[in-house]
Parts: sequence; C-alpha cells; structure tokens
Amino acid sequence: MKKVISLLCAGSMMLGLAACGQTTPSGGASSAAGSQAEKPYAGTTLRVVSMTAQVSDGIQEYLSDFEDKTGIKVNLELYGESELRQKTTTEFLSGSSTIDVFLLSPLQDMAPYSKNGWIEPLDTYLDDPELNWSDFTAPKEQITLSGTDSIGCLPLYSSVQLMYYRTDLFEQKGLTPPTNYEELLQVCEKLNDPSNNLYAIACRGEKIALTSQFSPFLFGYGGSYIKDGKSNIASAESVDAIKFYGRLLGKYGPPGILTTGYSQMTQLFNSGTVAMAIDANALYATLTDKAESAYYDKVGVAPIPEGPTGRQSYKQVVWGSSIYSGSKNKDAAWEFMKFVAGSDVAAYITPKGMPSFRSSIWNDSRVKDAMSADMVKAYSVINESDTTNPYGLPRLTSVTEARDAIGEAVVYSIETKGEGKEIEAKAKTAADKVDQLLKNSNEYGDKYSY
Amino acid sequence: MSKFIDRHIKWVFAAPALVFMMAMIVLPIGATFAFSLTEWNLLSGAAPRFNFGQNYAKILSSPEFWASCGITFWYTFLATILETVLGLAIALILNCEFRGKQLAKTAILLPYMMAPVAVGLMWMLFYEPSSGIMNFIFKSVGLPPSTFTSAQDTVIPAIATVEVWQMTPMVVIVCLAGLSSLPNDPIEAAHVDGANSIQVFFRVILPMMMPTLFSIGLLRFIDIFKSFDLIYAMTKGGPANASRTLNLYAYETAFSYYKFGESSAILTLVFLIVLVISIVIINMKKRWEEKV
Amino acid sequence: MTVYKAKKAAGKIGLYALVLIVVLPILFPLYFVFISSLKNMSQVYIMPPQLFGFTPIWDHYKYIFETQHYDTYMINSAIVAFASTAISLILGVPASYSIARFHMRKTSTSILVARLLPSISFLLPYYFLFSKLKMIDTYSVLILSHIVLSLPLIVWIMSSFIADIPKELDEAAIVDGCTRQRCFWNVILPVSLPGLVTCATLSFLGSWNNFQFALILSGEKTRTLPVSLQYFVSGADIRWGRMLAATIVVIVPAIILTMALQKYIIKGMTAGAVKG
Repeated sequence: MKKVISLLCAGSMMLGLAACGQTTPSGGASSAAGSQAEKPYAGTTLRVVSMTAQVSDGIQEYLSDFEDKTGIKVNLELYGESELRQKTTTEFLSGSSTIDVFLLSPLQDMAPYSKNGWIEPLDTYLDDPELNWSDFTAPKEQITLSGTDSIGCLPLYSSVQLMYYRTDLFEQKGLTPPTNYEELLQVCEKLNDPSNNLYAIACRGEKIALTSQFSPFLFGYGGSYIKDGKSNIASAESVDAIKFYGRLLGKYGPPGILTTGYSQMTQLFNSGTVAMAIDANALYATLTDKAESAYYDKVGVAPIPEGPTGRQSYKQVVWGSSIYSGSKNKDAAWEFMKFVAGSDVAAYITPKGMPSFRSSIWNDSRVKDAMSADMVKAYSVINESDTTNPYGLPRLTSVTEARDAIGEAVVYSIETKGEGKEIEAKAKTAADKVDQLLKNSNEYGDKYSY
Repeated sequence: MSKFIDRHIKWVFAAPALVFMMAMIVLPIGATFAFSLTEWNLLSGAAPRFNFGQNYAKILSSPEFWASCGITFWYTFLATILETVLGLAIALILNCEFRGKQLAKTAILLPYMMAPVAVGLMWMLFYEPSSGIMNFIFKSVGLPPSTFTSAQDTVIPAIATVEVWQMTPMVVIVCLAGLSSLPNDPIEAAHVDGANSIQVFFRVILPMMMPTLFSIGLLRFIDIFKSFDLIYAMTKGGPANASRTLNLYAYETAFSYYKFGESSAILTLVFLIVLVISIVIINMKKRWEEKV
Repeated sequence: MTVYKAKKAAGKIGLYALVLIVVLPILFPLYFVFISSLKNMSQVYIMPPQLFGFTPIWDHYKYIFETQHYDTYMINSAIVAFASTAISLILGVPASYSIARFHMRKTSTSILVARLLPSISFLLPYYFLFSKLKMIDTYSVLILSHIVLSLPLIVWIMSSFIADIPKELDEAAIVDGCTRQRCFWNVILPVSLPGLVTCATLSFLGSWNNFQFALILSGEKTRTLPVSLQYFVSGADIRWGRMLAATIVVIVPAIILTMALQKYIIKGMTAGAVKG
C-alpha cells in the first residue's frame, strides 16, 4: 500500500514539474525534463553517510523509488551517532573523502564543519521548486553556516516540548488542557489529590536535566540564559520564571520531584502518579506504548501553555542533511537532499516521534492517518509559533557546568515552593558562576560568539 | 646462503617483524606528537599553528586531567588484578582432569569472542536499576539493590566487572598454555616430600608461573589502561565524568570539543605513562627471573 | 582404602562444583542474551525473567539475514582475521625465537610499543596515509592495521613461551648436526604448539572484534561485523532484539572455530611429551 502511495506521489510530482517546466540555477532541474525513462543521473553513484535512526529507515523505505526515478545508485552507510561524527571528521580532515551527502547534528557539528569549509552552501539550490523551501519552518540560525547567512543543511526533524495529560481524569473533572500559566495553576489546583497519591503535574526537577525543560518557562516570562554575552539568569524576568516553576512543582508536583529526569518522567506518568507532564516530544512513544504503560490509551497531547511573552517551546533541529563541499556529484547529491527532506521521508518519520519541519506534512493523509488528531494539532501549533528559545539550553563551551549552576537556583525555588527568601540571591550566585565560566573560556561580553 | 642465514639467524628471524612494526608506528607516534605541539581547534577553522608546550602546560594544570588520571589508574588496577588472579585460578581448575573439560574450556572463551560494544550494551541491559536482572538477582539473594553504572561511586567497579567478565578468558588460555609447559618433576618431587596441594601451588607452581603471569598481566594492564570501546558503549564517561578515563577524555576533547591539538597532547601523555609503567614491569620481570 | 576412595569422590564433586561456579556466571548472561533475542523488548523487562517455555520470535534473525548483508560482513571479517593472523604468525614466531634465545630485550620492547599506543592516535595518521595511497576500503589496509595489533601480542606471548623451553633441546639438536633453522622447524615449533594455537586464537579473535581500525579504514565493500553492529545502536534508541540477535550471529562462527582449534591444543599437549 505504501509503495502504491509513494508511486502516486512520485507520479504527481513529476506531472507538476512537467507542468511548471521551470529551470533552476543549479542545474538540478534537469530532472524536470519530465519523462521517467530518461533517468537524468543514470550511472551516477552517491556515497551517503547517515546515522542509524528511524530517519534512515525512512530513507531506506523509499530509496529504491528514488533510484528508479533518477537512475542514481546510492551507497548508504549507517553509523551510530558518535561514530558518524568520528568518521566524517576524520575523512574531511584528510581532504580526500569520497562522501557526497552526510547527516549532521547542527547544534554540535555546524560550527566546526562550516568553519573548516566542509559544507556546501545551499543558497543557489533552494530555489528548486521541487524542494518548496518556504514549506520549512526551522529556526534559521541553527541551519546557517557559522558567521554567515548561507543555509548549510536541510533540517530533517525537530525536538520540541509538549504537554501530556490523562484524558480520563480531565473528563472526570470536566477540565480542558490549560492554554496559559494562570489556567495551568487553576487546573493543577483542581487535579491535585495527594491523599490518593495523585499529583497534578510533573516536570523535570533533577538539577542538570531540568535546564532544557525549564527553558520554555524562562523564555515565556521574557527571561533568558545569556544576553549580550553575559548571564541573564538573575534578571527580574528570569527570577519570575524561577519562582513560577518552583511554585508549580513545589505545590503540585509529586514527592521526589528533585530526582526527576527523563526516565523518571515516564515512570511517574505511566504508573498513574501524575495527571500532567510537560516534557520533550520524544516521551510520547513510551507513554503510549502498551508494553510500558497501564494508561497508554488515556494520553492526551496539547501544546504547552502560553506565557506572558508567548509560547516558547525550544525547537531544536535534531538532524540535518548536508552536501560535502568536496563532492564531485553535487547536482546528483542535491537530488538526494531533496529526497531526504522530501515529503515521503517526512511522512514516514513524523508519526514515529520525529516531526518534520515541513508545514504541509500536517495535512498529509499519511501523517493524519497514523497520528492522533490532538498530536497533529499540538505539533503544528508549536511548529508555527515563533520562539526566541530555539536551543533550550545556555549556549557556551562549559554547558554542563552552567546547567549545574542554574539548576541549583531552580532546585532551591522548588524546595521552597517558589517562596524562598533567597531565590534572588541564589539566582545571582548562579549568574556569577555562569559569567565566570564565560570568562574562563574567553566568551564573555563582546567575545560571545553564539 | 643457508650458512649465512644460520650465522645471522638472530637478525634474519627478528628483522622482518621489527622493520614492519617500525614502519607502521613511526607515522602515528610522530604525527600525534607533532599535533600535540600545535593549537589546532576545528571550531576556530584556522590551520594548525605551533604553540610548543602550551597544550601540555594547560592539560597538566587542569584538575580534569588529574581526575581522569585517577579514574584510569583505579579502573586499571582493579580490573588487571582481578583478571590475573581469577585467570590463574580458573586455569588451575581447568588444568585438572574431568569429564566435559573441552566444553568448559570453550564456554570460558565465549565472552572473549564477543565485540566489546555488544558486551557493554548487553550489560547495560542487566544493570538497569529498576528492571534489570542484576538487581533482581541481588534482591533474590538478599542483597540491597545497587546503582551500578548510574551513580558515581559504583560506576567504576560496575564497568570493571564487565571488563573482567569479558577479558579473563584471555588470561585463562595463556595460563593454560603456560601450565601445560611446566616440567612435572619439581611438582612430583614436592608431592613425594609430603607437601599438600596448597603448599605445592605456592612453593612450586606459582614461582614457575610468574614469568607467564608477568607477561599476560602486563598485556592486560596496557589494554585496560587504554580501553575505550567498553566504557564508551556503557557510560560514555558518565555519570558526571566519573568513568571518564584518559582515553575517553582524549576522544571527547577531539570529537566533541574538536580540539585536536590538546587531544593529541593527552594521547601522548597516555602513551608515555603506559611506556614508563611497561618498562618498570619488564624490569621487575627481568629481576625476578634473575633471582630464580 | 574406602576412606581414600571417599576422599577421591569428594574431591571430584568439589571439582565439579568449582567448574560450575566458574562456568555459570559466563553461560547465564549468554543464555539470557540468546533468549532475549527471541523475545519482544517488553517481555525482556519482566522480572523474574521467563527462562524457558516462551514462544520464540525469529523475526530479529530473519531481519539480519534478509535485510542486512550479514553473510558478506562475515566473509569480510573472516578474510581479514585469517590473513592478519597468518601473516602475524609468520612474522612473529621467528622473531620470538630470536628474542627468547638471544635475549633481545630492546627488540622485544620496540615491537611491543605499537600495543602501547592508544588506538585513537592511529586513526588520523592512518587515514591520511592510506587515503593518499588509495587503499581505504581494501582488504590489504585492514589486514595491515590488524597485524599492527596482533604482532606485538604474538611476540610477547611466544617469546616468553619459547624461553620456557629448555635450551638443552636446541643444543642436543645442534650437536646432532642440525642447523639453527632446522632446529627451529623440527624441534621448537612442535613443542610450542599449545603456545602457537593460543596466539593464533587470540590474534584471530582480536581481529574479528576490532572496531576502531575497521570503522575508519573499511568502507562499503569491506565492512566487517563489529562495524555493522553499529547499525542497531544509536544515541537515541537501541534496537535490542536485532542487536542481540546480531551478537549471537557474530559469536557462532567464533565458537565453531575455537572448538575445532581445541583439538589441536590437545594434540600439542600430547606431542609436547618431550618437556617431561
């Protein structure tokens, strides 16, 4: 069935192209010549290195269609995440790599790879109508070559924050998912029932793990981790956010919230201890897994509530795909890039918890059929919302130490239910520590380069 | 011709191996040392630039390096000693005559045949604190559950256990080969003199096995000191860097922070440490052999 | 007399108990892995584990052979492991003889040096060199790199093994009119068979399981088993079922090989009657 659909898609794409018949600057559009028999790149072999995740399953699912259509033979090599990095770095450093297309994690690899000139700028390719670049909603600063405005990779999927809730409990109390912070507190007040071992909400409380999941609240209040190369965690807005997070979890969170990281989140929700959880989209698969949870069929999903300055879920480009600047088959490589970031692969990975950046994917029947309506809606709301918090983490060399320092202030706030007298002082201490870390690695003030 | 070979047999036999090894290691050693004297940071995008001893000064004055050094030694000594002692003990048992000996020997070798990455991951499955089989077994026999690889104070013993589980077979088969080549006369003589098995072991077998134990112990020490695959597969150096050995530290510096100059300096230091310790052990072995 | 018999029987039982204590901690985890490769992941996490009598699922194995080219990877691994072991033995055993008989400590240490280098420090230099020589993704480069690891191992073990063989054996042979070469072939090699088999096994398995060199120097054509295991492991999710099945598949040939080699070890031991 999937094959039939993809063939239909490929067919309709062809027709559409033949109809518009434009040419693009890169020469990639020679494929637009129309007739399938021509196979514009027959005889070309591409070497693609990718990572072993579902995105590669999606690639493999449709790879033979792609090869049939273009005549390109693709040698797909798969590696674990860090082995992939080791392999590409080593090969690129030697200057004699035969890689054509590779996957990268923009957050970590974009800076070193682009500064060494290993990534082909994509600007001239993006006009290709087959790609439909305007369909992508990825935060641009994550996918541009460092220090330039040139796009360096096509974004494949994102990590965002979502709100999960127990549909049965909400129905019982006649509640709807909260859309802003006040409603969130009201809903919590109604749900919280410690005498029956039911707590309203869980978010991460573990000192280091909490930083990323706290960031939407921080930015939702107009705060931030670092501003103009200096720590901003002690600003009035940031302190408001710390107090709110402390109040929320201190009053309505389960005992032991301070040890809650990613895996404890699942456990709390799956064991029925909490009625709501706000965490990464990756959590969804486990929460709805029959083998893992007793409440797998009672999970509702909603966009996270809006703060005073909007809905500030982080929006990380988890993986992107790039052309190696030394590739000898750049036009064929671009054909492959379009395929990787195309709607077939996107429709394959999105229901598996790797939401594509393509807006059109939310209207794709393959996605709609495979996902619950509230999930599709939550994703598309987050995807459309602009955020000043794309990364979800403080950006500096000593990230872990900074997370540790900031976490300490937030933990104090949770312990004192957001009412502790020393919250301001703790935030100041954290800010001083982060400033010191910035200075240590020569990134303070004007020298801040992120 | 044959006469020439015979007269110079010492070098005719040794030269091919020696020349091959020299050719293959000159480049890695030279290149690593050269890189270690440069400022080479991919994040800056600049070409490598000589900065002489700066990398070494920076590393030797950083507490992270010394912490990592301490972890490496603790892990290495723990695993090496356990492997050598256990390996000899198992070899002694397998050296006895009993039915099914061949099967037992093959069984012993199994862990050694597995890829370290697979072994590491498989043990992470056993070590899972809440639903892993190890804590289930601990509970069944009345032991308190352990945190294994998820807490800083238990992570090194937990990984060392896996290292011992996988690599002791290597010590066993080398010890078995060593035991099989021991002369029988002194052992029989001791038995005739009325010594019991334990006395025979400590007075006769152990001294004769010492050269073998030194050899295999040194090999294990070297391999464990720079072991990478297993720790990487299990914890990647965590939690909170508690299992970040020097080799992992160097890897992280190169492939996470992209500082190739500093990474090469760490690798050079690792090489020097292993070299010095090896020479010390080889000299100990030599002195021991001379004493006997 | 009966006391002696009883003592002997007790000794036998004690011995079997010891063997069991040694073998059980080795076999149980492997058995656990094997049955886990026949289960769904949610079944694996159920404690106490169901060790027998569950319905096995063979999907993981089917997948490995049908979707992945495990047969090719296995042949690649075997070619590299056999060739590198053979060459290492040819280079290493004569060298060990020289080192053992002529006390060449410096030579011994310089060969051992390769074993002291952290494997990451090989990666960049080797890739630079061999990519210039257009040797990446060939069997030769993998074989060469694995010899670098197994040659020191062989020299180190064999030289101490040969040193243990009484010198009188050489001397007697030479008095009988043997040349040194003949003495090496006809006297030393047969006596050191257990050592040779040990070295061959260690070197073969070392190459079979090598990951770091294979990752950097192999490619599509020469991919070996440990690199292909990567297929099931990534930062975010591990496909346990498939990975465990692959692990089992990887060790089966190694088991067959060791069982076959064991026979030679026994032969070597009986042939080594000279030593008494």
